[in-house]
Amino acid sequence: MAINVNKVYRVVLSILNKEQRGYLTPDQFNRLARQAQLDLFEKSFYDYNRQLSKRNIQGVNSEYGDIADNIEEKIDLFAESATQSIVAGVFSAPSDLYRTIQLVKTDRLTEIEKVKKSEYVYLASSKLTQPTVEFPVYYFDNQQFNVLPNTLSQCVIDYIRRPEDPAWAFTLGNGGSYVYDAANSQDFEIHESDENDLVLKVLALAGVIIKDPTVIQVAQQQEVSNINQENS
Amino acid sequence: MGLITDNAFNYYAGSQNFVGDGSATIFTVNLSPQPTSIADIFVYINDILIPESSYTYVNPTLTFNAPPADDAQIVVTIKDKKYGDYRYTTLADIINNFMVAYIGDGKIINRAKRRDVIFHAKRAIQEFSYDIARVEKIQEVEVGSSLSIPMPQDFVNYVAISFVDNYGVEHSIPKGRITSKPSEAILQDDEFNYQYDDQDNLATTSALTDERFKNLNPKNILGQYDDELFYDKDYSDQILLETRTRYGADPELMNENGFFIIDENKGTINFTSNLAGRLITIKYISDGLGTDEEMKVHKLAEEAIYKHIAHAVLSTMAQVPEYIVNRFKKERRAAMRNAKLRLYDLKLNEMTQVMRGKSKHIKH
Repeated sequence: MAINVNKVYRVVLSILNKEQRGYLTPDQFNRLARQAQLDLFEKSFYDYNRQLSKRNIQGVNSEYGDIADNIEEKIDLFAESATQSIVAGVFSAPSDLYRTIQLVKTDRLTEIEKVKKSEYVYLASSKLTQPTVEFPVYYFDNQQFNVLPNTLSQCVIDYIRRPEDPAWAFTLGNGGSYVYDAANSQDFEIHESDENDLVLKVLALAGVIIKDPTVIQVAQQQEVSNINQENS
Repeated sequence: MGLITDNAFNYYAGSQNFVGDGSATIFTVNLSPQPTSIADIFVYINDILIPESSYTYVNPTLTFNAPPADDAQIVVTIKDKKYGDYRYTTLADIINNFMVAYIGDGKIINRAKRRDVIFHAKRAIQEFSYDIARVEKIQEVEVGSSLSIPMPQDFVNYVAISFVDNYGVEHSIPKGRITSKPSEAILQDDEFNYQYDDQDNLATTSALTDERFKNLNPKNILGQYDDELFYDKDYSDQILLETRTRYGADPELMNENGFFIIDENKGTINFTSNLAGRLITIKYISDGLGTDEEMKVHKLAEEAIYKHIAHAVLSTMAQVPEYIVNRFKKERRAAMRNAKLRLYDLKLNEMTQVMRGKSKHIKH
């Protein structure tokens, strides 16, 4: 499902070189690629939100016509679960946490509901709403999950992890040329359907580096055109 | 999949059987209701009760310190088994069902916090306890010489208070409206001036009203005679007296059962002196939230509680069109009325039997 990093690099290079606009070194590409992937990854959450709102207004399309479901699939590529030990009601966030989906008890039958830290005082002081083992809550604070009541010893966190940074690794070939090293490279992890957007995004960022506004403009126009297509 | 998860033996016998294999120490208990702690179960091996020190129980896992022998018949039994749980839906189920069926994308309530649903569900259980599924609790207690008993811990209001005679028959005790329990008795000097303490607060004393009523012989109110000889022909003067004094008497006071009054301030129920030493039953309603076990709703009122929660959630959400709120208000009202009718528990043959008695002519 991953997008081959070498493929993207070659496409970007070929577009840039075709116009004789300059050259993007592997190191520069890697930095731009990371940025581009994160941009598109983050954008998918906004796209999902937009499509959900649209779906609520226009009704549900079935199967492949349900864009919100399609985007959900793209995000779900990064869904992870981890069992966490809770000590005195606290556990640390997983190191690759990007977005929390939910916390559940280990039997996966009871959700641990997210509350705001500021709400907790009122929540705990009301006998009708105070957290119980049956209806536990948590708040996130300083990279730590605070679970209440603090008698729970374990829970499962479902979360969206951060995508691995893409890397176009190389060895030096004859004449100092860069030779693609597949074994040490890291492909893009975002969904294949984002490949075009990814190239455009890298190009737009590359345009900044090579100081060519036309590259930026073309890339941005294409991106706007894509968004319009999604919204139509 | 059916809603019944345990088999008939588990339900009727309230126990589950295992067979030891000489090595297994861990057994998974599945009973209804599921025991939550070691205090909820008895464990027998080959019909011999095993002490709690021989095993641990962490719901749902029973772990023996030593493996029961091969072919050993292990029986886990629920203490104080109750039946009929199928009639009810638990609070947890109500909340989970509501979250699944009423909240989500493409539904009228597209987003609601579970804690709000919990709050409204608990409030609904309280309201239903008062109005729809009035769960009456009955406490039996003997009245001591103080003539006062504390309200039950989860008391909200009384339904009926009676004393029980030697045959187990209840006799209703009416609420006394002829006296009250002063929450404050002010200390006065000989000239009736108010007295104050060191902090210039009003000084108080024990209420005389209470004291005097405690010493009251109810027969003084009823106009009865202690010897009850007034029907004896040899006491014609007393019959005359009785006729005269009872003419136009207040029926509310014409009973021998005594009275009770409720001290709202102290949370006690107080009785007249003729009830000292009597066995009393207090039928009262609670709010259904006293213990975890109580937090359930009769299935005949399940739909009503969903409608109640939906209306409560929608009416407190911003930017919900008023017509939606009104729609749910009507649906809630209809569902609650329906639940009330169902739970009236009117049975045709019982009604017929009662009405047969009522059809007798009243002769003057």
